[in-house]
Amino acid sequence: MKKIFLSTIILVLLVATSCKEDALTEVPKDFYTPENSYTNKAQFESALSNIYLSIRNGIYCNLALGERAVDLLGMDIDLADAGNNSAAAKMQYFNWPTMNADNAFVGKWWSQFYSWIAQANAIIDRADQPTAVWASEADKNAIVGEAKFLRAFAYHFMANMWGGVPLVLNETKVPKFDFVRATQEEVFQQCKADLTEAIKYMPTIDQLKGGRAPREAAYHLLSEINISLKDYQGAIDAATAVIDNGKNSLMTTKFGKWANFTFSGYTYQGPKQPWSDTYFCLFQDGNFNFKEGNKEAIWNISQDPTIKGGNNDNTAPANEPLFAMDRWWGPINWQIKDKNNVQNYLRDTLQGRPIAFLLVTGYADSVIWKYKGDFNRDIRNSKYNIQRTWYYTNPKSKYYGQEVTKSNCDASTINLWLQRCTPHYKKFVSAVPYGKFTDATSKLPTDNGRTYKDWYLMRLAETYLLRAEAYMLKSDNISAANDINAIRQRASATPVTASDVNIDLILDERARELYGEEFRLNTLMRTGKLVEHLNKYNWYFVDNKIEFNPAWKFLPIPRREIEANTGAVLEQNSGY
Amino acid sequence: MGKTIKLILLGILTLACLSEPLFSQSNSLGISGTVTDETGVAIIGATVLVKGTNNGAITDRNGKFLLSNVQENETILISCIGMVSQEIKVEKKRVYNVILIEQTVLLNEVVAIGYGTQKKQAVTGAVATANLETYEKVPSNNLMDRLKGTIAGLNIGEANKAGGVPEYTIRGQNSIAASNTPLIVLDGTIFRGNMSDISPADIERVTVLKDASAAAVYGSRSSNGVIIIESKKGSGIGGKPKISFESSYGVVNELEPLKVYDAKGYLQRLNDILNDNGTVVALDQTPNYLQLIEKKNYDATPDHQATLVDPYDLFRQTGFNQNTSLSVSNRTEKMNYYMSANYTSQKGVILNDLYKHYSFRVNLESKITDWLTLGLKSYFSMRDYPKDRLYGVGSNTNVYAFSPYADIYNEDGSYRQFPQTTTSFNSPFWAIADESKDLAYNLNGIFTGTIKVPWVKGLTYTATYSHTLNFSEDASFYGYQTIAGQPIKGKGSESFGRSNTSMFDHLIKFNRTFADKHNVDLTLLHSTEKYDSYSQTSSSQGFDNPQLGYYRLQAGQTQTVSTSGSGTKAIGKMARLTYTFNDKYALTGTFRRDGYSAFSANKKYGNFPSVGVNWNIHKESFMKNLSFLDALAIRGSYGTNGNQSIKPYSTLSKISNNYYLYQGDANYTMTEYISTLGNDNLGWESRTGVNLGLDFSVLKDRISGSVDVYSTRTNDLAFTLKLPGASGFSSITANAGEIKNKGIEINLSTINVKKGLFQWASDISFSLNRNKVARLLGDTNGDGIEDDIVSSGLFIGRSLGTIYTYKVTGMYQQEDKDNGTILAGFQPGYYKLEDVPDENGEVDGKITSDKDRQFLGNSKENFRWSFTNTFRYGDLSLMVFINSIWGGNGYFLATNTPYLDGYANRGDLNHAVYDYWTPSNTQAEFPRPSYKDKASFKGNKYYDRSYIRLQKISLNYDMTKLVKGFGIHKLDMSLSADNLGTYAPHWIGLDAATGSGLTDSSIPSMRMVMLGLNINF
Repeated sequence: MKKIFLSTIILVLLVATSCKEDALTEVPKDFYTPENSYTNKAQFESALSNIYLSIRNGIYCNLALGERAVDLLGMDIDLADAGNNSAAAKMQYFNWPTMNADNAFVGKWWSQFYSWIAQANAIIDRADQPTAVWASEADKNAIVGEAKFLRAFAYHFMANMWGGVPLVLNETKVPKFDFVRATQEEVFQQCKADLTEAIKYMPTIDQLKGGRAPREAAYHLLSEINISLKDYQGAIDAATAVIDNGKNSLMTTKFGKWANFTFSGYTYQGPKQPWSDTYFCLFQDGNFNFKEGNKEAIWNISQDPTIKGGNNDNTAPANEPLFAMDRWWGPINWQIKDKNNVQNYLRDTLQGRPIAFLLVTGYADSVIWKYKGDFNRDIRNSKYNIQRTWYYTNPKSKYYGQEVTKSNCDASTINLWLQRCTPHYKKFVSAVPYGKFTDATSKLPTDNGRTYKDWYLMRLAETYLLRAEAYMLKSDNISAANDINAIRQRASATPVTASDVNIDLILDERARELYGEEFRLNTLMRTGKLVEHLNKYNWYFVDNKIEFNPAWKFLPIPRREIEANTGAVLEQNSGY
Repeated sequence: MGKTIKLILLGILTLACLSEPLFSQSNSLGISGTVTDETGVAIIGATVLVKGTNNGAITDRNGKFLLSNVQENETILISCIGMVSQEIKVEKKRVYNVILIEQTVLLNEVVAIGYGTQKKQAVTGAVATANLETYEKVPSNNLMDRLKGTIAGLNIGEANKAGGVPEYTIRGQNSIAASNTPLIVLDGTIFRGNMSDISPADIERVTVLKDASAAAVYGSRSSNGVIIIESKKGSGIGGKPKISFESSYGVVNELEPLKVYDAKGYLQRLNDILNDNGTVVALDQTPNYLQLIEKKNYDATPDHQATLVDPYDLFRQTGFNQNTSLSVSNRTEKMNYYMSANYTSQKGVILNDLYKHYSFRVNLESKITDWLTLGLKSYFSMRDYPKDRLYGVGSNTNVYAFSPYADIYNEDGSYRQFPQTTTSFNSPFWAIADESKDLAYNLNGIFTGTIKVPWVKGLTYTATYSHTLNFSEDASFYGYQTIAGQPIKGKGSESFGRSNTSMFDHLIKFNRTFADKHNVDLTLLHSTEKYDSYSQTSSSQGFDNPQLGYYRLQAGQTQTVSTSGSGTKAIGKMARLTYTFNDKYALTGTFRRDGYSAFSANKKYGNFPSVGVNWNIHKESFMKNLSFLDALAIRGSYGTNGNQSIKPYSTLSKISNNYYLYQGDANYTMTEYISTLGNDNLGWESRTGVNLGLDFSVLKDRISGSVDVYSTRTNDLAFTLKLPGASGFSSITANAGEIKNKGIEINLSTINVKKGLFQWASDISFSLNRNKVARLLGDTNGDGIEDDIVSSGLFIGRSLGTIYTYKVTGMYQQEDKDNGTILAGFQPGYYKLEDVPDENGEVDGKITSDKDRQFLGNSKENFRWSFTNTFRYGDLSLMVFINSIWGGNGYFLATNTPYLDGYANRGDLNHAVYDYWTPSNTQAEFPRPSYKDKASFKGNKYYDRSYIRLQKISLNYDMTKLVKGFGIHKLDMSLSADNLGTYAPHWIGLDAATGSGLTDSSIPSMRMVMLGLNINF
């Protein structure tokens, strides 16, 4: 018996000592992990770049067809109606009258903003961990400051769109199911605190490449936050810090690459003629950035289809272009056929390649331009900037070169006419689009390719309008009028007087100056004007006489979020 | 036919005769005797061997043997395949008449139980050994085909592609998200390969561990059951090598021919579709709506002959199936070996459906000293698949879509890309690569060393090292005349994948019987496993000169390369103790502790205990009077298993990268973000179950069998759990929920008739499984009731596979519209859906998803059974194997939706012929063509897939007697068929067993008829 035990024990020992239990730690081979990624300045900058990428692709380049992207910019409110180039009926993308917690638009933006916040939190937390090695405290502060700015950028949308939301300020490392809502005031205060830090450490605009947010962007955003916090002097001061920084100023003359652009006109006949004005120059390739001589620029997204990372990842002809503004927002005039059934070509180089998913509203087409009789005076409404007449472009057509009218084309219904000949804001397209290719039918190199341009997230003109709003709210309408006139003057529009100044004027001026640039949804919700503008300017509301719903003051918290948050109750906004 | 075969055989035999006679002639010092079976029939070819020597003999056609040089007190071993071997001590007498008993006697077997074997009397769990011999006369391309229907509870599906391995599960579905595939153990080590790497001819024994306690020795990998496969060991014939040659060849045809529309039907259907979609056209005007090419061909002949009488014939082929294996083996006192080569070639019923498999095996075992035995089991396998099969499942190259008026070729003889004009249908020939390969290699070696510890009786130590190298190569080149290559001037790629698995097991066993009554069997295991893999893909496109294909990818303008790698480590420790008292009572306890690198940080190790008891009642004195009873035992067991289905690295937090550009930079910036939230607490799914079994044998083993009932619950199911978006992540895999399974399994073997030369034996297996979702994610909406997950079809208290949708109650007709009884949104020729009354019995007159969906049944079958009959008359035997899966009670349903596939409403493409509604065919089975595009509420009609299939039939003629004396020990001819016919009373379409209906994704099943030859030298 002894022998049995002895032998067994010897064998067991032999076997048991042959390995260690911690051998089971997994070491990844073909992917990076957070542990070896947030360790030095270059890697933290990579992490910041990803937030910029998320912002670019989330706001401007989302191809999800059901959403048509660009939905923070005023579509389906007062600036653009939803058109549809195949069905006779128009449809809404985010249907306000049936707005509920299951709405896809609401769910999408909720998680988008929190994804930016999570990315910023990872940077902020990990910058202080021992694994992060910094050459200097200043390096670290600049990175953390920029991350805090981006976090505030996300939270300010959330505070305006939902009111109070859960304030998540640290990286989530383990699943968490007990989020609770902070108040709207707390969210704004957090934004202010973050921006105050950011302003201390972020580099100024003259130190940065285009596409990256400078200190001025933090001031600009702080100005808006202070308005929301009713700290109007604070808002004025923050805006002034940009306006008077000695670097930024409004562009008052033609400038940059396309200052001397000439064009043979929409008809393709006749000699070329000068084709630009100051406002036109602001939206041309190569002109968007401070580095490129644009003193008005504060913060842009960045695109360049010839360089990897510049949004060129989707070049196959079958795929949609990634800059959604060009694609969704504008008429489909190249589908016009004349009375003899001859179809137009896509030849007009200033056309882009829109497909009429979004059409300019009557508000943006005419109401705002009639103010003070400036329709033909305001350069923002010039033929260089908004095209209202369309011509036959196919030489085979009997009407070649002639204007398209309701009577000489095949647009039998008003909807068809709108889809094909609605006014087109030229700021969305480029003078010469990228990747033009041969039209399959005409065999001419005229198909208008794609538009990839940098695009303003913040522009000095808006800083003026923020300050004007703060002055107005501080009952200093004279200063407010001065700020508004700074912009109107550049546009050759009739100046306003102190007595003209009210919130409606500011919103209209924003529509004139910042059409497709400002985050219209945010602005209207922030100023409490969303419902009014829906009722006044949205075709669906007007046509269907839809009643005011006080719930729309805020968006609903997504149902998915409430259901997934099993450890605590996320209170739904009232009315949903 | 018979004559030819005889001639061929004679030829082979003449060659074989040149060898010397295989057994020694009589010697005055020898012994002699006769070997018979229980009925007195002589056993031919039994081996009689003096133990420990090379001295042996083979019984002749009269069952007689002669042995010389036999000493008194030596032991002779008499053995024969299919019979229980016997040992006899040589005494003074010279003549020995031996009766061998057939191996059907269940309770005396030794069975494999994982890390060892055990007498059947001591087995406490549900362990079943497959009866391979009955089915080996029907050639099969893989082991699963051979095992189908042999073991109750081992459910094997259908494969209908060349080289396909049917899916297999044990005892129902235990998991929703994780795998349900059983663990395969080959020759004692975890099998890392494809089931078709294993050549059925090389397999000695297959054992299935079905219940939790039996499988528990494999711990965290065993919750789906375990299949233990053992390859053949060396055995000789009378001390000389045994050479075995098996070959079969047969034709493969469609079980049910697929029909597509011919010219007349095509035009009629085009007309029906036009009319149905609002273009009212008379039938004789329909040709005007043909596409350009179709119209041209239609007008080409005065009587409008079709260019293709049956378009599908372009792709239909008569396949074949060929299996050849050759093995040589021998056994001596010190050494045994088994070597084999196998070749399988199969051609399916659709063009380009091909498969080849080569494998080689060497098994060696050598007794180096009294206390040390070394062994090697090794195989090499190569599988060769086609890269592009033409099963165009729903794609734009579907072989069913060819029009009878299509042009196949261009003028220059090449294939036309768009054979019938429409650009949404490419010629399937354009989907095939110019050149391609898809090869998988598997090389495996298992080295064992066993030490019998000399100074302790019954104690052994075995070290087993196994290494598996899997290598795959996958290359293709799509030239200018292919869909993939045409727009980009050719596209080529070449991938290599390699994985290494090494396992090292230390096994200590102690088995000893004390005081003749107390048997102790202890097994201790320490096992480590290391796996790592690497793969590399190079691809290239844009070839100015595509001539060199994938051999010169650098000729392409755009080249990309990607690589990947992963690895796992596992550690297992196991102890098993079985105590048997007097062969009457047995008690087994098992404990396994497993560690696995892919498990999450806080759950790296798991413990899996089990216990079982066995009581051999028939050995009790009070049972002695029941003379009809040969054996009766009851078993009970309880244990826990795990499902090691967590993928490597899946619980780690991960970084993803993108690219961004800052304006003014000449180059991109790489970006990074945390794309996956780590999960330190994800555990494996665990199954806990109880099994009760009964084994019996009565009337001199004429009727024997076993019955098992079980109940299991699987906890901690891996679920995708939604996370609040505020965390920045959308979901995580977490453990939640519970599934219950219970069932009954019966295996029964009977010898129905046994009279003279005639014998009729039957094997019946029956299994029934029910499962139920017991818990899911809990009550998240706060209504106090556990939530169903409707979108995933998971309902508390209901089976997995529950069907919850609208109920089709008929077809709307014109009169329903005329008299206003049609619901809004419906048309004549649409399925009538039931408007479910609310609690007050009121119907709301409309169909809505929240109110009108209902529980229709369940896609799980009610029960499975199989019935095998073997009739033997002398040298002739006939095996008939019937296999069935049967529904009832609304079970085992499937959809059959020719009206919903991609081409249902496409008049420009052909379709499998089906019975659709038109105003003149109002009694149709399926709705009108436009249903798919226009109906706002589409109901699915469910069909019962119950079937009884004549799975295998084999007529076998043992010709050994005819060739006796030519050096041949066994010669067997067989004519067999696989999948001869199916009775499926409710199913419409190609095959109920595979669920193939008449849609664009239906694939014809294969029927094989084969001729086989089996020779032992």
